[in-house]
Amino acid sequence: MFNKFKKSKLMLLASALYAVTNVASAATPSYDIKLTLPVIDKGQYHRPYIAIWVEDEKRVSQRSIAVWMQKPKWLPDLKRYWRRVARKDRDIVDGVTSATKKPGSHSIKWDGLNDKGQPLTAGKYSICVEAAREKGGREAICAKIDYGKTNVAEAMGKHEITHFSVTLN
Amino acid sequence: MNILTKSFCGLNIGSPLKKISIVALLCGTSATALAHTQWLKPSTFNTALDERAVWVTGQLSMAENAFVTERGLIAKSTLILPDGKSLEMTDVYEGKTSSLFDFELTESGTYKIDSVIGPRLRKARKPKDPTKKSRPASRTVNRLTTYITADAPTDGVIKAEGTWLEIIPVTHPADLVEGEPASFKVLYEGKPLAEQTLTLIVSGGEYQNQKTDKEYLSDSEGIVTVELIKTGVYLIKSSHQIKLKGDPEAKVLRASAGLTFEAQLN
Repeated sequence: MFNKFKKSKLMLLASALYAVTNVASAATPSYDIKLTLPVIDKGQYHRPYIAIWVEDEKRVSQRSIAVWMQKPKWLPDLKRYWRRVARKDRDIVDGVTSATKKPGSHSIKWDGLNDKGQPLTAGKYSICVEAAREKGGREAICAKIDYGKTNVAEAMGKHEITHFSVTLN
Repeated sequence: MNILTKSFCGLNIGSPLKKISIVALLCGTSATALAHTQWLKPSTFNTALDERAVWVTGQLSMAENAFVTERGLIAKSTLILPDGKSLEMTDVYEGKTSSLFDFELTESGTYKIDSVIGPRLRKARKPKDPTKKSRPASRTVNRLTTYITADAPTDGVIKAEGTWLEIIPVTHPADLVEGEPASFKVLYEGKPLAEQTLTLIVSGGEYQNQKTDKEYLSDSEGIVTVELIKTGVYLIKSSHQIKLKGDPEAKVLRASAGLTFEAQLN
């Protein structure tokens, strides 16, 4: 009885959620992000700290998508992300933080919303990635999009990032 | 400095480098003293508060090139906290080649270090060699400042103290980035100084064949805007000379100021 009740309630919740996301996806363009980190076999290797965020043409961050890190003490090494976001809005960082990742390709989703959960206004944006590695280097690159209009945008890195691309769903 | 020294010594000479050395010679001031740059540098400019204590060391020295330690510098240093409280640095190691003091960052925001050297009396010099010009007695004061930001920058400490010569950031010192312009304001006794020469020096001068110092002239509001071409530690400095009236010991006051900051990676 209890199980049945729980199940039906879950179903209800799921369908409600589906309806909500469906509405949102109809109105909001969302992007699939692919980040490839290089295999570095030179010297001591520590996984890089990574930040991925979206900024407008005035370089104001609209959305923090992901931060991969371990200790907050080294967060300022993500120099650009630190200046734009982390030094002011630690809550935003905490909300998207996860563990550091291995070299190779990683897929991340951006629902197209800003930090407040609202769709962005039409226009040009940069989706940026910054990598900083202990005993290694630092690199920041951006893929430029016209929100909802650009289908694919990419940026190549030289040292700490191999490839970064964003694809409209 | 150049304008005022020029009128003071009645000189008008070409290149900045020549200007300084020749003015120094003819004014009868010691070339070494003029060539030496007094500087203040914190061990970090921008940092994050952490579970563990975050300490910063302030260092003061003077040498031909900025940020090279050659001779110790005795100053009265004050730390101004983001909330406006000030703390005099009493535990200073006054070494042969530099002075050092430590302080802990306990709250987030922007801190200011204000180090004042002098004012002190420089006695008149009457050289025995008649070809050398004598130097009148003067009072000198130099104010060195820098800003340190933990987490988010704040504006509370970015203001003039209102005494002697000061260089105050217009662009927040935690927002200075390579390839971007930066503005500063020069003031004497709290009032903007127009047409004042400011010199911008980048670290690493000891590894350059030629001086890369750049000179700027302040506008009517005392503001200069400079381009930070590369990352690194910079010193922007200036010097202002005024005639003293009713001072039995000295005829002129030479007030200098230097602001140290970093241009960060973009």
